[in-house]
Amino acid sequence: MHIFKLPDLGEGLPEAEIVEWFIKPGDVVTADQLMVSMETAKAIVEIPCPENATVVKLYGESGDIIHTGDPLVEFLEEGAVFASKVEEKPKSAPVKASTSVVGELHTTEGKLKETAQSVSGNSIGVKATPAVRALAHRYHIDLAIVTPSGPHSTVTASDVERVVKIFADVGELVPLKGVRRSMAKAMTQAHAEVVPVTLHDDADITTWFAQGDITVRIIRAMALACETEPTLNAWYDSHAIGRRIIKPMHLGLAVDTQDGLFVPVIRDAQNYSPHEMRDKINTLKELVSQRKIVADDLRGNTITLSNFGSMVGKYANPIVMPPTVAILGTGRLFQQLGYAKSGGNKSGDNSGDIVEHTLLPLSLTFDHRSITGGEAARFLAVLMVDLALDS
Amino acid sequence: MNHNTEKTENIFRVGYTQYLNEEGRLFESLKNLSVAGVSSELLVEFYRWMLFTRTFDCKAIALQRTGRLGTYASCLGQEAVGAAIGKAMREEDVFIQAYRETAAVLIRGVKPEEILMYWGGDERGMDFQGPREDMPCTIPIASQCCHAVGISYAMKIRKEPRVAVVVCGDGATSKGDFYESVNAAGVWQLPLVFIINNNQWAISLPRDEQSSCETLAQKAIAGGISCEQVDGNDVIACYIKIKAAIDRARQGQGPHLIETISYRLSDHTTADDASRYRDDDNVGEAWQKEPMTRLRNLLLHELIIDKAGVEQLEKQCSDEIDAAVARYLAIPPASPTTMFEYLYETLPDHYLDQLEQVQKKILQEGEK
Repeated sequence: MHIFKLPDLGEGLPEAEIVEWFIKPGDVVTADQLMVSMETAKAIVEIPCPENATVVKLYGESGDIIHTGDPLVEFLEEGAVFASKVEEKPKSAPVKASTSVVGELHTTEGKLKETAQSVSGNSIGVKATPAVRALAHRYHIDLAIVTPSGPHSTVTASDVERVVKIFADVGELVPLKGVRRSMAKAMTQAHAEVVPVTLHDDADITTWFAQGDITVRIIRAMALACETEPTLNAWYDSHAIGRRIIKPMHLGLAVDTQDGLFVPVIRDAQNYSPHEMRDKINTLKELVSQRKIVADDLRGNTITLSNFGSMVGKYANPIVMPPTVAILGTGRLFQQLGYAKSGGNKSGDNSGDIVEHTLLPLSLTFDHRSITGGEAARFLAVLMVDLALDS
Repeated sequence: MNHNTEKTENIFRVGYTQYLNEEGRLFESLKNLSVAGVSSELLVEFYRWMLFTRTFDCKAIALQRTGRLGTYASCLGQEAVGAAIGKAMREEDVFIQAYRETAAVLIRGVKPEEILMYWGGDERGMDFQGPREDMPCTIPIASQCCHAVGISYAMKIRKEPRVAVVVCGDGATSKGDFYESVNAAGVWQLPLVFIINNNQWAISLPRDEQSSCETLAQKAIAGGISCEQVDGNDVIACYIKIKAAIDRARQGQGPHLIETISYRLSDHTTADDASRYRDDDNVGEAWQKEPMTRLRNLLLHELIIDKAGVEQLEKQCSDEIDAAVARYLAIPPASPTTMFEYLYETLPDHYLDQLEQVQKKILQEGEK
């Protein structure tokens, strides 16, 4: 026995209606003899007998709707077994055919990963002939970095050869790894998103710098400035175009190492006493240098301090890392002649003497998308006043 | 204005050739035809190939109707064009088909089971074991014209005495690909023969709504290419004209365009029902002009073959096709990995990952 099932008569047709039978049970039929006419959504189609056989049963009468893949006729074969292409297909679970392929289209649960890629790798949009692309491929040159010299900015073979020569001179490309790689990505993001403005000024720390802990004092001054001008202690959301002004100051402290830049976070930095702060800073630096700092201690800062002055450099344009909106950079101390301050004179009158002042250079970068110049200036003013206090 | 300032720059004409008319009457003596390269043996060969093609066509539709083949495009009524192309080309030439040139493809050595594999969704059917450089079916209309320009340009650059022959339909001549190809072939004087198989229908759009050009052949004139019309139901005219065009192209005399006037007696494909958009009268008229009857009448009338001979040919073709179908049905399904195998000579790195995923999936399926 063999059951003939209704095939997809068009391209993805789910069913067909029986119009007229040309055979009946008991008939001996030959292959290709007219069997039945069926009406689909597209056409009236005549179906021939698939084989030499005897008709056993018809599954339906004129006017009946038969679904694709459902039984239509039962045959008793004449000798050879009817070979159906449909049934020879692989054994995975059958699903309804949906396109113009033979028989059934088999799908599996799993989805194969596929991402859009150009044949030439990264060089999407680059104009180059196949021969030039092949040349670049042979030398492992990314066409996107080749400056084109051909007509309409096409990359020519000699362009590729020029780059090959340059690369031969400068040696291999060394990919950035680890922290340095993260830095590269973070900086690219910052550069793409933030609209930075940097204010520069100097804090007069003449009276205390010799005996005070400069970093601890800067942090104290920042906490005070955040309290007065909280808009700088915030996270900006560029998708929502909104900001979250944050009450406590979680200070990110930039620490330079051979492996790259780390920014460990001191949570609620406003609550630390000077001693506690010094201990905390030392602990963090130690953890960073030993590479033992945990990931949680490297996240969640609301504002950042980069104290690069222990090396060289007076002013900088520190980079604001989203989602934070401000970073303070402090440079190398320097001396400058100026009027002496009259001791304890709150009015700020000068005594008239010219003396040497010790100044701490400040560079405050803020994200102008969420902060105005006035806000940043007020922040800096509070900072400078606090730093100028004797203690 | 008292005188005409305009002069005639150029005048064009488009010829039309027919040797064998609807009644099987020949406008040339058999002897003269023989001198022109069309022997009685060749006439029988034409008939046999056309018969083979028509029998194959019927069988392919039966296979589709019984779920053993995907969508199939019949070439019913257009067998003469294909047979003429197949016999006019040399083995070393390259044939760039549309999808109704079954006769030509078979003559060039493609196996019937390969054609069935193609329409059955098996990519291996495009990897012709016979004519290695011939192109598979072209589904995107008119794109093959551009491919043919590239192929014939390569022949020219390599100074090879070879010719490319490309076929497109009447609908294709409205596409940019066609115009661009005609133009490029003219400028570069390529060894390329364009054949427009004008079967009057672009799916449901009739010829008179396709273009207001009197002939489709004349579209070649804009590209500076010589052109003509031939009765596409007359295999003799098709053969002589196509052969002459190929010979000229081989001698470096540049491209040529032939519009063969035929009729699509079938539906567009097995997924179409032409009765919904065209009159039976129209089709009935076309059946009076179809190419096989007139050739058979000629062969019988001229005593080149007798009725028994015709029946013997029919039996032979039918048996050969049955054997080919049996071979087709016995071919195990292709591995899904074949989708990676034919597009690139060397698979680009970024596909290797996908290929591995598919291979892994197959292994997993096998274990179940």
